[in-house]
This record gives sequence, C-alpha cells and structure tokens, in this order.
Amino acid sequence: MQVVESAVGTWSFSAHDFDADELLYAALVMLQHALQMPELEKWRMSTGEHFIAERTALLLSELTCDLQTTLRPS
Amino acid sequence: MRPSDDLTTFLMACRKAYNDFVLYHNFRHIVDVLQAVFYFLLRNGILPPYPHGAPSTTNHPAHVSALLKPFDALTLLISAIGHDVGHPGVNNAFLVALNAPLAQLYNDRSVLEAFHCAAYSQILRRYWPEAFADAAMRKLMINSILATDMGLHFKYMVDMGNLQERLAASEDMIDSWTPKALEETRDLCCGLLIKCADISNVVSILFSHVMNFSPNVAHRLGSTTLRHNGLRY
Repeated sequence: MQVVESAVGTWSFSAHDFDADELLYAALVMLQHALQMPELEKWRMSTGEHFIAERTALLLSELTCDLQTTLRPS
Repeated sequence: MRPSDDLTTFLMACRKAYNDFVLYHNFRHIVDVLQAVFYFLLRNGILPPYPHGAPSTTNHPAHVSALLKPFDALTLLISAIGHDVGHPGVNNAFLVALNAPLAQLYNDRSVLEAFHCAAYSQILRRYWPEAFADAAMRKLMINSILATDMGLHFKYMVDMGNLQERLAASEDMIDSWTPKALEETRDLCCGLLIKCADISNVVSILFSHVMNFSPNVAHRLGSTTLRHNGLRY
C-alpha cells in the first residue's frame, strides 16, 4: 500500500502496475487527501453517522410495515 | 473526516459500475485519469502538497489556477471517477449510426457522456448524497463530464485559444473580469483539465520513450506509438 501512496503523487504513475484493489486504494488516498482541506468539511461525515442513519431509516420502515399489517382490518 | 468505510463503499460501487470486458474504458482507465487530474491539481497548488506536510512542488502555476478553489478540485476528482461509468465499449458515432436507444434518448448529442453523467449521478445519490445534493457541484460535474466528449474537442480548442488571447490582452490580470466571465473561465479550465487527463495516458507512455531516446528518434517513435499503440488497459 505504501507503493500506491507514493505513486499517486508522481507523473510516472501507471495504472498497469496495480491490481483492482490497489487501484481502488489509490482512488481512496487521493480523495482523502483532497477532503482534508477545511473548506471541504461539508462533504465529510462524522464517524458512523452514515451507517447509523441508514440503519435507523431501515428500522423505521420495517416498524411501519409491521404496524400497518397489525392495524389492517381482518 | 468522512470515514474510509463510506468512501470505500462509494468507490467499490463505482468500480462495479465499470465493465471489465471493455478493453480501454474500464476502472483502470478511471484511476489513471483521476491520478492525472490529481497531479495537475497538485502541481498548480489547487490541492495542498502531497504527501500531507511535504514541501510545495508548484511550479509557476497559471494565473487562472487562482480561480479554482478546493470545491472545484473535489468536484474534478469526483467527476474523473465517474466520467465513463457503464461504458459499453463502443463510441458515439457507432451508437448514432445504429440509431441505438441510448442515441435516441440523448438526441445523438454527447450520447455516452450524457449517459455516464446520469448513471453516475444515481451512484452519488445512493453513496455520496452530500455530493449529489449540492446543486453547484452537480452543475460543475455535469459540465466536466460532458467536456470529455471528443466530438467537442475542437470547440474546446477554440475556447482555449480565445481564453489565451483574453489573458494576453489583460496581461494575466483577471481580477477585473466580470463574475460571469470568471465563472465561465473556471468551467472552461475544469473542462480542459479533465480532457487533458482523459487523453494523458498516451503522453505518459510517450514520455517514458522520450527519456530513453534522442529527440529526433523520439519524435518519430512518438508518431508511431500513437498510431500503433493498442491503447489498451
């Protein structure tokens, strides 16, 4: 991974030198480098918030379906 | 800081949206273009030095570089990642000639690029909603992805020539330009950067040959390389 981190900052970077996972990591490194700029804080998220929000939305949806089923006239 | 897991998930979704059976416009090409954009932004001081804390390597950045802010840098990187999403391996001319459904949908104009943009927007909506929700970011992203249509190449070359003339006439002092002119210039610069990155692979191959040969031989080799290189990833 250190090889990837070194390579992304150079003009001699060649995508042929890396496999699919290394390429993904390279993209991650570049995005993270940009996102550390304070002006881009809006595009950051606090740790776990995204997953918590998603799981909460899913849970609420399931509960709503259950409630509708329970309240449906027999 | 956006957790790596979220970004990784987003990038995995992007990777999955590219077709491995396509010899050139696959995920490997995308990371190559992304890295070229990244490098351009580093060298023009639009991104902070890399690695973090390293000394600056900007080398006489262009005056117009001052127009590009962190927001534009992030948008360009995001645009690079998605600019060929779902590429089928054929070009616009082919789709138009066959009157393919995609060509009909986009009225024969920048067919693939419009498709990439629309498909990528859905990936952003699902995996990076902050990027999708920002109207200004979406507008610049659309502008940048559509700029990769090589059918519009000569239009961009004319626009770049006009910009160079304006810069020469104003002696590179762009502070007095109207906000509209500045925004148009910013958009043009972003389009030119991603265009340059999109075709930079051939130049980077050529560069390694130039390093090993004399200028005359390198010139001839360069022409041959461009004609016969399979341009395959």
